[in-house]
Amino acid sequence: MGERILKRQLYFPIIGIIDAELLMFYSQTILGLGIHIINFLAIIFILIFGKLKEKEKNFLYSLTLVILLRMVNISTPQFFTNTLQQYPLIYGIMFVPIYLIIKGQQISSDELGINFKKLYIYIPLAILIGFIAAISEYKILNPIAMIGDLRFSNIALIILVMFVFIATAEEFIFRSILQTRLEKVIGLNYGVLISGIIFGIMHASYGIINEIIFATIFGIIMGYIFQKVRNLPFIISIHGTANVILFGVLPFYKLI
Amino acid sequence: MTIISNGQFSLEVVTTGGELTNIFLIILLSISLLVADTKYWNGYISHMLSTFYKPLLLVFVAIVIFKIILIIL
Repeated sequence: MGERILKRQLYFPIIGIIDAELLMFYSQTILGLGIHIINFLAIIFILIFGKLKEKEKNFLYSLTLVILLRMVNISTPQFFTNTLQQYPLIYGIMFVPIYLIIKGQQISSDELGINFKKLYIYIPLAILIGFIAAISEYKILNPIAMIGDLRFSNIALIILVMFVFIATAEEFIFRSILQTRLEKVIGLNYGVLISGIIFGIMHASYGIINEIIFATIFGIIMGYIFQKVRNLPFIISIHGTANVILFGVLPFYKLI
Repeated sequence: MTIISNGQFSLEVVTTGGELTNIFLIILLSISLLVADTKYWNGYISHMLSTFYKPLLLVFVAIVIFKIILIIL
C-alpha cells in the first residue's frame, strides 16, 4: 500500500491535465494544447530536478503518455477524411512511447496484465459488458457511423482499428501503465479512482458533460475489473466491443 | 468510447497544433542538450527524454510527408 496523500508535485500535473481538457471542452483547443505543453515542461523539470521517490517519478513519467496522446492527436496531419483511417496513424505513433515506458520502467507482463488465462469465460463476458456500455453511451453521444455500410470489409476494418489500435493503446496507457503506477503511489482504491477520472476528463473534447461522466464511471469500472483480474485481453475486449457496436453497428439500427 | 472523437479538429487547429508541437520538440531537444552536461544527467533522464521526443519526431515526419504530398498534388 502506498501513501494516501499525493505530493504537490504529483497532483499539480493532474490538475494541469484537467484544466487543459476543460479548455478543450469549451472548444479552446489551442489554448488547451498550450496548457498541456506547459504542464509537460513542468513535469520534465520535476523529473529532472525534483527530489521524488522512484515510484513517484515513474508515475509522473507515465502521466506524460496522456499528454502525448492529446498532442499527437491535435498535431498529426489529417491524411484521411475518414477518422477510422486516421486512428491507426495516431495510435500507431503512441505505441512507441508505450513500448519505451514499459521497457524503461521494466514493467513485468504480470503487472501489465498480459495473460491469456480463462479467455473462454472472459471473451463472452467482455462482449456482454461491451454491448451494455455501447447502448448506454449511444444514448449520450448518438454518433454517426464510422463505416459506410455493414459490408464484411467495413466490419473487419472497424474491428481491426477499434481492437488493435484504440482499445489496446488506451488500455495500456490508462490501466496497465498509469493505474498500476498510481496504485504504487497512493494505494489500490485511489489508483483506480484517479486513473478513472483522468480517463473520463480525456473525453472532454466531445463537448458533452454526460460523456465525461459516463467515461469516468466506465474508467473506474474498467480499472476495478483490471485490478481484480489483471487480464489486459479481457478489458481490451470490453473496450473494443463497446466501440465497434457504438460506432459501427448501432448507428445503422436506430432502435434505441 | 475513444479519446479522439470523430472529426473534431479543423484544419486551422491541426496546423497551429503542429506548429506548437514542433516548437515543443525543439525545446525538448534543447533541454536534452543542456542537461546532458550537468550532474543531473543519468540513464533514467536520457531514456525519459528520448521517450518524449521520439513520437514527436514521428509527428514531425508525418507533417513533412503531408506537406510534400500537398505540393505534389
